[in-house]
Amino acid sequence: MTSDNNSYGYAGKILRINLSNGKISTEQTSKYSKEWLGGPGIAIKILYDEVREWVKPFDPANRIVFAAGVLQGTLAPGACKMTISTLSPVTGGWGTGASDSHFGGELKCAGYDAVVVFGKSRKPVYIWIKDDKVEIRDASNLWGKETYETFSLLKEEINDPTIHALLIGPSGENLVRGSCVIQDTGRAFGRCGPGAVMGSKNLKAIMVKGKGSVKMADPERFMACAVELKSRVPNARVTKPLRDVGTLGILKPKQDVCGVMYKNAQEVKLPDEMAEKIDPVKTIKKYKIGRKCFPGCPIGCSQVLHFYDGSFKGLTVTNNQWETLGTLQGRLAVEDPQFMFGVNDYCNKLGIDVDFAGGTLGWAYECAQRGILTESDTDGEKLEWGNMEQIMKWIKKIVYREGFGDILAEGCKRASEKIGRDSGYYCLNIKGQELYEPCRGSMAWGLGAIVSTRGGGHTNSAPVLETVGGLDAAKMQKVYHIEHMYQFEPGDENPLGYKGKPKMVMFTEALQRMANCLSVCHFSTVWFDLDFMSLPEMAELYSSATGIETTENDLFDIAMRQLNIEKAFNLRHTDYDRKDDMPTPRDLNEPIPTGNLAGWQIEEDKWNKMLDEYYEIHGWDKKTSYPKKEILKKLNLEYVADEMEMIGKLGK
Amino acid sequence: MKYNMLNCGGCRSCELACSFHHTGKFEPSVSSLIVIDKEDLRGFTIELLEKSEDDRFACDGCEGLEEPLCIEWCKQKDDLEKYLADFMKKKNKK
Repeated sequence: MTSDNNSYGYAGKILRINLSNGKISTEQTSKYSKEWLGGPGIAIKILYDEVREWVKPFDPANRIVFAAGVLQGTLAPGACKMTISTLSPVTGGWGTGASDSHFGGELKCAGYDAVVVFGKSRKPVYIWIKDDKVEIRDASNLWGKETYETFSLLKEEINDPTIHALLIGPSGENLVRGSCVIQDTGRAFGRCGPGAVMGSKNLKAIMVKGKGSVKMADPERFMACAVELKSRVPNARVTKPLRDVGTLGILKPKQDVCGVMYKNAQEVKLPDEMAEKIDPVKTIKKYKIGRKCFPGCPIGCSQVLHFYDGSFKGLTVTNNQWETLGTLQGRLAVEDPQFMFGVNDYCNKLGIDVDFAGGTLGWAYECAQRGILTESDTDGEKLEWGNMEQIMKWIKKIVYREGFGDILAEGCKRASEKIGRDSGYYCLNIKGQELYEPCRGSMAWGLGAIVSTRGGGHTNSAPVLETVGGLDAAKMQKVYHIEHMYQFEPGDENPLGYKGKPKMVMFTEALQRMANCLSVCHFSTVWFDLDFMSLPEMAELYSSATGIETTENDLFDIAMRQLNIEKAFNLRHTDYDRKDDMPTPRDLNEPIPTGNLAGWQIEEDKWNKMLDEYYEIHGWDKKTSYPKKEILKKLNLEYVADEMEMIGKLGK
Repeated sequence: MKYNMLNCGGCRSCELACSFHHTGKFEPSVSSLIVIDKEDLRGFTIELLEKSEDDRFACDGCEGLEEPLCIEWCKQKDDLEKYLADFMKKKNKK
């Protein structure tokens, strides 16, 4: 039994491992947990304090923080997410990715809220954590192997079939910038390139087993809240569709709001015929053989499929979620309905992020279409939209850095800079991270995805309900703290407008940060369904679990503290400012070509006014986006203000 | 006693709930119910313990509770309910 007996909610300790000299130590989580919540909250504080401005992502001095959330390992509904955070090789700044996980709960039972790994091993290793026994073991025989095979060899070596692991594939080993970390066989910590940072440290995997427990300060109060939240699930709007097909069910509504990339977002809606042909609901129905879900999740959004015929005949997989449909299938115009499942599985085996692969290939394929890239660039091959076999081959070439794949492995931004020839226009990225969704039409969604501190994406600022029709307006206004209903109805002007959107984004920033810190899946919060938990319920769960009485307002302030230090971390490591909070040139300059919103285009002056308001409500400088001294002081971040002043990046 | 639960997604919420019943903490390693991955992706094996072993408690069917906690927290509760009823019947016979 290794859990700290005086710790509630949290396991109590943070494990630190220096791979350069093999030293292993622990520190108390309470050193951080007064001002920062678990997961990415504690991670950003550690990264801000310890990763100085001269450190680059692949330097041994970079830290990678594997962190469980505060409610992980409990029955809080949806509390199954853990996060991996680091100085990102994709954005050059704050990088964090979350995933469903058995690992996080197991880690807490072993006595640790987080594992901080730094230094660099001379030879490939893996880390084996069994309660207070922590070993760094040789992984030479595993280096070069794909993730699933690695996992099964490790299970044999440890001789425990119930073990869980975080692993990298050849992609991370080869320092492909957008490499992910895979949990067991199929869940990915996808964005920001944590797999490449593991690779740079010669760290192949981490395994964990814990015999301890997660204790609640007030078990009865905690369970009463958890039971009440669980009782909301069976009749909620999103439950049945999620249980049946996960997020793959949103294809139709996404088509309605012009939110699907086609041919690298030249169009933002799939041709109707193609949408019909690839309909994942039909594929799931036809091939489903089982289910897959994660600890504490009251919904369960994954199905297991076995393809008994078709292009991927013989393959048994857990279904992918929405992103692979959007970012690989739609973006590259592939019409084989099994492709999204097959390519998702292939990327997971190799350990490459699907969004990175799709974004980079989307750029290359469009450049080929426009004659910017010719066969002489692309290893004598003509890139053709929709050519499934060719796309799979290029993913492999990226992972193994073969031929032109070596340039693509750097991500579309660096690749386009290397190629030049005005190819940058077709490289859809925000802060260096491949954008995996159109940001035209729904402006709170667009603003949120674009200002995101980890680079383009909707998981830490973008309110999805803006684009969902038929919601209870009064409830929406109350939950999101907004004066008007800004939500999509066909023929309705609201989602296309700019008014009130910054406030919606600011609330979502707090909501999604706290969900990640507590380890609650976004699908179990009001981000996805107004019937689910919001900050007040999170405060109740946190208070009863930890014994630290915390209110909704406290959580909001903690989230803003976290947002501001993420921003400061970016300012220290990069030149990101207001210019990087602008839409991509394509989103800014092109009207929506087809679909319900055809003809609509972002108006730059209105975007700028919206951005002004966004900075204003955050206490940030409108001209530069830099946080001002007042807000940093209010959030107990005087030391951040001092540093920002020293590097000339304090808002005026 | 082992049951082959084809509908189980392996979330292991039942283990958390079971340990909470026995100890008031979330401590899956003492649970009377063990979710075992068959690794064929077609459901999971559910093992229910008749007797205490190592650190684990024997299943008491959550005596005194209206609904056993593992069933309360299971998303496929109809199946689990059948297995638990069968288990309790066989256990009481012995």
